[in-house]
Amino acid sequence: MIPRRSPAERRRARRRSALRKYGVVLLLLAPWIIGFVVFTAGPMVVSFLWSFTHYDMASPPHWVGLDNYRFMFGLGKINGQRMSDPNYWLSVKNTLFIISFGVPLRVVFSMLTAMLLTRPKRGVNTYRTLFFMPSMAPKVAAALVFVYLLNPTTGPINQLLNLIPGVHGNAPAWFYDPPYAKPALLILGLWGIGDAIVIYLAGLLSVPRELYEAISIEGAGAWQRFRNVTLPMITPVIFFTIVMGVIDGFQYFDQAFIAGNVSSGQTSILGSPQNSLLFYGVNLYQWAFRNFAMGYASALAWVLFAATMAVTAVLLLTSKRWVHYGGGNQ
Amino acid sequence: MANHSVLIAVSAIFMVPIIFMILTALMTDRQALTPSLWPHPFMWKNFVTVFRQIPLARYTWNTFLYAGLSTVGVIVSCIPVAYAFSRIHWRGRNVVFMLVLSTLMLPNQVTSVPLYVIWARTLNELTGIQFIGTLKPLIIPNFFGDAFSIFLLRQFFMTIPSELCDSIRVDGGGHWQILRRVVIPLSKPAIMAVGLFQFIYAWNDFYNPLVYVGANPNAQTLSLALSNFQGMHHVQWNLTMAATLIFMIPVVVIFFLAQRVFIEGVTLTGVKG
Amino acid sequence: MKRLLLCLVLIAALALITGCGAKKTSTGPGPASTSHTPVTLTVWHPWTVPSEKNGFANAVAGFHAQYPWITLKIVSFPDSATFDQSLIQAINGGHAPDVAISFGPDYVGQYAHDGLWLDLKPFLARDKVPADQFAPAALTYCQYEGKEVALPVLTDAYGLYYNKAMFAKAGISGPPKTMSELTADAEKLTVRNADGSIKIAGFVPIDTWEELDTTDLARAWGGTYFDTQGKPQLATDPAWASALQWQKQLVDWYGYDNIYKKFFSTYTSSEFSANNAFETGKVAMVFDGEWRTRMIANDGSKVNYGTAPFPVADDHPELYGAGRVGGTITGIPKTSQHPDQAWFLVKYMATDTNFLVQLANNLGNVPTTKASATSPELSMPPQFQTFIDIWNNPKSSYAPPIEAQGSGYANALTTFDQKWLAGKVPDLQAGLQQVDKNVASTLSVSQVP
Repeated sequence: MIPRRSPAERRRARRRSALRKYGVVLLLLAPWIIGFVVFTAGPMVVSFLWSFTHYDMASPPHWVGLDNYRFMFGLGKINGQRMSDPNYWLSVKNTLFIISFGVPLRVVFSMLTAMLLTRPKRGVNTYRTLFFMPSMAPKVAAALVFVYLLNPTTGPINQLLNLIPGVHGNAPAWFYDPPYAKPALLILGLWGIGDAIVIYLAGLLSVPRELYEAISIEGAGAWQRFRNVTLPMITPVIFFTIVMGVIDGFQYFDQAFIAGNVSSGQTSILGSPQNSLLFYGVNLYQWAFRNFAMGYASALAWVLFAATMAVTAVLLLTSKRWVHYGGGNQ
Repeated sequence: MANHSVLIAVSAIFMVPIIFMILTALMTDRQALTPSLWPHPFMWKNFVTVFRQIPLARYTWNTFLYAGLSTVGVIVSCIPVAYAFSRIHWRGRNVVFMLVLSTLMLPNQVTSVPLYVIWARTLNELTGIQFIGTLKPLIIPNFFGDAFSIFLLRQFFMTIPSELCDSIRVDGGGHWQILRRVVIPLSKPAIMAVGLFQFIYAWNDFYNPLVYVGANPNAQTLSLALSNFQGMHHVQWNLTMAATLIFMIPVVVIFFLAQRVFIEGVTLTGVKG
Repeated sequence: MKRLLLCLVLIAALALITGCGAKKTSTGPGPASTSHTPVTLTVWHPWTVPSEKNGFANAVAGFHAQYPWITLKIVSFPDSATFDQSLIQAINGGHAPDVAISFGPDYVGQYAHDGLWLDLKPFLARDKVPADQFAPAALTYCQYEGKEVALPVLTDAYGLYYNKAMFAKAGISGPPKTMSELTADAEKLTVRNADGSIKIAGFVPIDTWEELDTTDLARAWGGTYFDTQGKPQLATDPAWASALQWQKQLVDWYGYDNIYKKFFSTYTSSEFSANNAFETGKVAMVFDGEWRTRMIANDGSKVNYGTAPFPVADDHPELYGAGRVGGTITGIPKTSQHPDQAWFLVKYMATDTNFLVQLANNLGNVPTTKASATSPELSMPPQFQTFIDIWNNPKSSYAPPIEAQGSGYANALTTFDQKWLAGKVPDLQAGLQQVDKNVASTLSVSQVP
């Protein structure tokens, strides 16, 4: 007979195993913790402190308290005159636009394309490489290529569109016309979904084949297979791409930077035409590096951070309802 | 099969911009900005000219060093971390995970300025090692985890059925065994994806090499080399496109070859639950 | 444990913030150094294309001949767009070069205000460098708040290029000297296609077309950006409204869609290629810099062209002959450990006639000293003289005005101008007042004492 343990011994054993578990966790997390403290926490704290200063990166920062935040939200006063960032709310609006349209487009198209690529067939490797290749191009090069492709007069896209009788001569001016500039960026975004396709592919290929076999035995069709097996099993991947899409969307910068330059013909103008491409990140960059207002830019960064955290937290909390982790022990 | 035609159509659309890049790379400088779409004459020698203007061997070596080592670093450091966030239950797990995610949310243009000073002064004074002008500040942080990769791996690790892990535990194995025999083999596509993304990110990275290496020509990477074709008043588009295409080739080749591993590390068929 | 960690982090952060431990910075010059101990100077420049890189290296080889104990380590910085930003980072991080050459003076205000570059006035005085060998315009972009932190190394000057053949054919005897003449000539020389779109534009008045900027148009009316107190006065100085109205009139005559969405977008990216609109006869007149003469020659363009200063308002004939100028500058970052030797190089690059002539011949820019501009070795086409004259005109200046907060503030006007030309501004005066407010806000939020 196994000797029984006393309650005290049981408690000690539990505590030991708990300590061991936390010890293991700490060990596993060690690399990340060290990296976080040195490379992330430090800069984050510094930028947070800078957000309460006027700092031009050359002289020491100059404490101004909440002035930068007041400036952002239109409550600032300088010499008795109301002062605020004239482009702040516009940049927020532009950013929300690119997120609300860009993320769903990305999720839907990547998933559909990845599904096309799962069927065993000849030449699948080639197709996959072709789809993935555009996302391997440096973002700057990709943006420049699209700027050319979508040029209102010399670009091949409009040359084709102008052949259509209804359109002739009135093809959209894309990056030169405010209502069409952001949609043009959405098109550019669709070209670069290759990396999301790869992730969906990995997810789709990880769905256990036996689940498909089981449901086919019951006589289910393609839609049933998709809705009852595929979709639930790839919800972790969908969740990932949505969260990353939102985070990236809030920080959208590289492509907007390039495209925004072009329609003005000058590298000093960002967000052209008429600030339609002035996203939050572009506005931030302009304040930090063109206006030498690193303090205010840090404040902008922290508001962005808070907003992203809030949205992500909401996504994370509501994810329990629709994300299905097949592992079953979460 | 109908599917083939859809795939062909969609891939053709995807390829249009790339084809345009190729055509531009084959044009003369003069023709590169006209509306004409077909090179006249075909400047095949553009690809050779590009090689002559860049110290190719050194830049390629630097780029491979950065991309390769940082990929190793990411894989080695992120797997244990993702495992801790997915296969072990501990109090505060979700909060710390949010903390990991939060590092993705602060725009890097702002934190990069303090980070530069950390490398240039703080770490230099602490360790006596010169970091600026080398690839070290680019490579080293990747050995300490990367939030994107951790997130991706965590999502995949969470889909692994616990019965498989339990069976190892019943046999007396610890976390290391579970990792080695269950989690890693079953997550090959995800690990592959993480490695691939890091490699490509580092390969294409322009901003970080510019900040940390910029003034040291011996440590510069290929992405910086593209600047050789962009002068004060003149961008040589044909050479820029040619150089960009050459620049993309190694990555395309690696991806093409790596696909096998994607497919192989896949299904649970044959594994009895 | 957690609290200790937090403390450590905060301490580290504060250390970073208080700009800790910068390398010893140089103070003013003592007597000129006579030491001949070997010294290596690191020089950063932003020329990236091999022909320009090599051109600079060749031209500056003469320095080593004059100062054989000084070796130059020349670094071509790989991104001219972020050159100055990176330079400031390097100064803060202790990795800055001894001498820096920048393409443009947008950061001069910051360099002077924050003492990032050394004030060269003491050096100039000590070595008795004649101040008048540089045109007065140099001071508009090499100094700020009384500190002259940079010297010009060649410059750009902007004026009017016009197609003589088209002028002759249309019976116009000479280039326009007033803005009304400019409008009349532009309209006369424009050729439209059958469908109304523009085949040849007389003059494109859009403010970001190639080199043209709203400040250049306002200059024709004598416009000034800031008043004597440093407040923006775009709404109160009538020159700006006049310039914008002149501009819109011509744009409306073309039709906004025609001139912007179709014509502008077709040619704007060809500005620096052989398909340049002026070089290929698609525009009759253009506001451009002196380097265009070099490009016309290099591109083999057959255009028969003349150059002249940009026209001025009908009621301001006294302003004729001036124009926007400004370009490459050089200076000494404060962290240089060899300021004396660095000064030798700066002085050489700014004043040595052989160097300037050689570099000018290579790059096609305007030589900045009297001696180099009149040197017989200078090989420029006859049309180049216009730009030398513009450079020397006492009313010429750099625009937008140098500020310690950089030149980002100027974007407000340019973006406003885009809206104005698109017809989205019902009340010009109110709009300009808003722009003034935006400019003031922008400058205020980066204010550092």
